[in-house]
Amino acid sequence: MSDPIQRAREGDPDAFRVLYEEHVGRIYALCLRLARDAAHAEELVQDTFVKAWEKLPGFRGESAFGTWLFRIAVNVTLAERRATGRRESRVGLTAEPEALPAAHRTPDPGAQLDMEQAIAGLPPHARAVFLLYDVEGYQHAEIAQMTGIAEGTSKAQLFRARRLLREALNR
Amino acid sequence: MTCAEFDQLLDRYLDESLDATRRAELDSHLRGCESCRILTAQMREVLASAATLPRSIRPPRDLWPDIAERLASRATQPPVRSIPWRRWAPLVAAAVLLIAVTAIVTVRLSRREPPVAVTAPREQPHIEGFAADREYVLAAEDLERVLTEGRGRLAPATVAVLERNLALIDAAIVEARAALEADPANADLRALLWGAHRQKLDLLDRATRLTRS
Repeated sequence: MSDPIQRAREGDPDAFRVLYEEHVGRIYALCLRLARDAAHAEELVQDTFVKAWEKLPGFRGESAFGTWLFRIAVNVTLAERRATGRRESRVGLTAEPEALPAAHRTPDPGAQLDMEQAIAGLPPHARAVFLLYDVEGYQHAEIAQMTGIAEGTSKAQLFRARRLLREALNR
Repeated sequence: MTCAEFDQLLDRYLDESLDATRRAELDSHLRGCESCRILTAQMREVLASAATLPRSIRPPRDLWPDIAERLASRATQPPVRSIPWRRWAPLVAAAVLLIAVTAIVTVRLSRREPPVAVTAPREQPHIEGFAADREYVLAAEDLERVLTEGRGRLAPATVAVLERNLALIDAAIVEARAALEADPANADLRALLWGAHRQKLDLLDRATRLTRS
């Protein structure tokens, strides 16, 4: 277990900030794509790190810290959606291109934005599974554990998501 | 193989998780089916496009100040190790048994020795531990009240383990307190008593958290 993690587990907020700086990009990217709204994504990122701080003493290093944090972000996002029944913003990523970093606009900004828009148009569960499997590289068993769905459901959602994306990108 | 069957297996084909025989069947179908070749090519484009997406995007503003403020508001509640009951119960039980056994052994040993000081009434100020003892008891009572309110939310097996461990700790407290009353200057006994109190508070604290989780 690396030093900042150990020190953060012991309640050191400066060490926790080191972890925040290291991981906030990936957590924000996930939250932004799941929430489709930059302001909402920021709230989810904050909730994720606050929750991680509370749960940190229980982190035993059985998985990578990033994976553990990712799981919290997924749980926070899905739990918030369940709790509030929050309707997703109709404002898609293409309406907020400034939310995407400069590096994201190269080498083929059109294709990437098309892809982001197509992902944003997916139904929530299909979107979550696609992001976790095809963008983040998690396996169905891990996704099932993260999201609380059955492994078979994860596979079915991926099947659906990929075909919806193919249709959206080939219109 | 029909196109529908091909489509059903396409994801595993693309993920390269099919066995060689199945994969050969799909390759064979692809050679003779233009629509499935187009489908496969388009699906590959989807995956390739997904692979180019950045996995990390920096937020447009620094979110740390807001997070730090929220952490600071929790400063009075520092992180407490939260372990599932089934994992920590045996540890608590072992710790409690250790306390109880140690207390009993210590009490027996201390009874063999001549008392260092004459037993004094609890009110006398030089017996500094009794006020603290009372504070521990009051704190435990507060937690016990909270726990009683939430006890219905715990599984019966959890309640049984909890009660068994509380009974062990209480026995250790009683033993240590009695020994300390007989030997008020004994620092080891005092440490044992405070240790047992802290175990009880910790156990009650964790149990009340369980009722809220």
